[in-house]
Amino acid sequence: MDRYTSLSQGYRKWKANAEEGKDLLSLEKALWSVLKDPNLLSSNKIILYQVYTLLRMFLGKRPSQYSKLIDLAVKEGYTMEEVHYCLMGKLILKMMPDLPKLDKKKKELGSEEEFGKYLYKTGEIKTKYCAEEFINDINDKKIEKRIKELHYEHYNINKYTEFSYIVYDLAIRHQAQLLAEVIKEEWEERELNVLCHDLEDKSEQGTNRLRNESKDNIYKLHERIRAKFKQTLEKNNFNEDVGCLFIREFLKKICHNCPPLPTYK
Amino acid sequence: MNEKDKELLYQFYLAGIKREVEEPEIELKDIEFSLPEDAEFSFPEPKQYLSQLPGRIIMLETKDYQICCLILEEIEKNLYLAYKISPYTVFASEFDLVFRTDIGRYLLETDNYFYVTEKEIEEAIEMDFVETEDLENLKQELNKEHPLNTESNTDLNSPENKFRIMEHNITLELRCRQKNPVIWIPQWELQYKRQPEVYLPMAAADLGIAAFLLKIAETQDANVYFAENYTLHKDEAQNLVLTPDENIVNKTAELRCGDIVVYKGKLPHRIILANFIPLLPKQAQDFLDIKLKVI
Repeated sequence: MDRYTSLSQGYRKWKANAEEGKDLLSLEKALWSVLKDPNLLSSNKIILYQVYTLLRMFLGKRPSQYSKLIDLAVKEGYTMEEVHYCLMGKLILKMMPDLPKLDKKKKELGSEEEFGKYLYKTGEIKTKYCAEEFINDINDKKIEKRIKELHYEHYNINKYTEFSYIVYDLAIRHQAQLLAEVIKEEWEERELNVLCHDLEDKSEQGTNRLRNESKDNIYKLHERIRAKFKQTLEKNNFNEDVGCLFIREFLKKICHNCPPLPTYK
Repeated sequence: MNEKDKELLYQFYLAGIKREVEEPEIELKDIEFSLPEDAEFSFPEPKQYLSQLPGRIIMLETKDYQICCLILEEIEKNLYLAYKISPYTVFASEFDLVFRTDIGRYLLETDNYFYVTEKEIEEAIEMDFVETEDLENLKQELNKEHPLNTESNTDLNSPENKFRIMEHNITLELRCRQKNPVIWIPQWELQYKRQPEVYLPMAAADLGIAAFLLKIAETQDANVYFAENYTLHKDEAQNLVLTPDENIVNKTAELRCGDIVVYKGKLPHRIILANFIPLLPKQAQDFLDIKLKVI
């Protein structure tokens, strides 16, 4: 629980002590700045607290729906942290394409207060939609896939799942975290080393791993480790989306803790 | 998913459909919110919204409801065909299309459509968009004939049917405001069409539709039913048509089938209630329990 406490404390401390930045206009400005630069949500704690406060206000607009949201999510085994993390991510994800239109609206409306109201309304409507989508997704996972396929075989428009869609899909996120645990527990360090080489090799910084292996060997090792990764997915009934999310969001941390080995042997 | 869970989900849906909040806004308890310290948000480069109106997914606001819909195409100048859509894919039935965009998954209700103006679209909150190619695919799917699912639950009080009825209730105002209102009758669509032999054993299903149609062609008198303030008849195309008495045309009225309001607004000279209905008007009246009331 420790890792949750400090941020929670930080938020409460900010809420109790900060002299500025808690009025509605400041909160709306924080949201606007995140839409312009989404990295701020991870890099600037004050802005995170401010957007957080807005999200709370949006959710608080529909108290009975909110309490049902929490009941349903908790019943399905999701934590409050997961729920709020995904809702905040989904909200920003869904508001980002609005940026040019909102920019236009900002110029049209002139005053910051008026634009703030418009931004607030947009955020509120989208938050409600995110919450509904979220609850639907939790429940959707419970339907037996086979029955679903039988029902929708003829009507479903199959489209490749875009990565952006799965980033805040809670069920996939859950499984990707689980996959990280499975890999940490079941894989040998030298295997992890190869997987991390595969990841880091394409990065700007490059990698120190497998320095003593020939190019041919590395090629073969990559092939084998990808096959093993696929097997691990299949063995644990994880789909490709889970694998993609794991590589994008969780593998980096595993590699950070995996010392670079010069060879596979 | 069991019935109890479906009912819980329906209650969640119900709690969110009204536009205005009746309950006082609450401040959430601090303890309910905390994020992992190391939570990192990552977002892909967003795609730009479309400049054209077809393909837009918008949230329209009527007096009572927020209505999420997809703008399909321009029907005539300044008039666009829109379909009700929803995030509740769990409730999808044989009447729906389920599709995805980059940032969402939607259920499109093929039997729940209406028309909106350019101004209404421009004033609405934009939620998402369907790219041109996908929109064309959707149009093709909409043109296909989809078989009815005779295994579906026909109980109007089941969560999935209550959802469907409420979704149509939400769009009632929009469906009724046009010259030729789009009428949707749950007893007809969700019960009779799915299981005619159960819901009207004495009707056309027993006789065979072709034989039945021949029979009603011979008995012209049976083709009309006179009620207190309207007349029901079948037209040449076998549509069930309701004609309000002349003295109530243009008055605001409510048309119900059983307890469910299927039309509300100014009465036109005629309302098509259902297409190709293999029932005599009297049988349709008895089955649908039609009531027209000026309000």
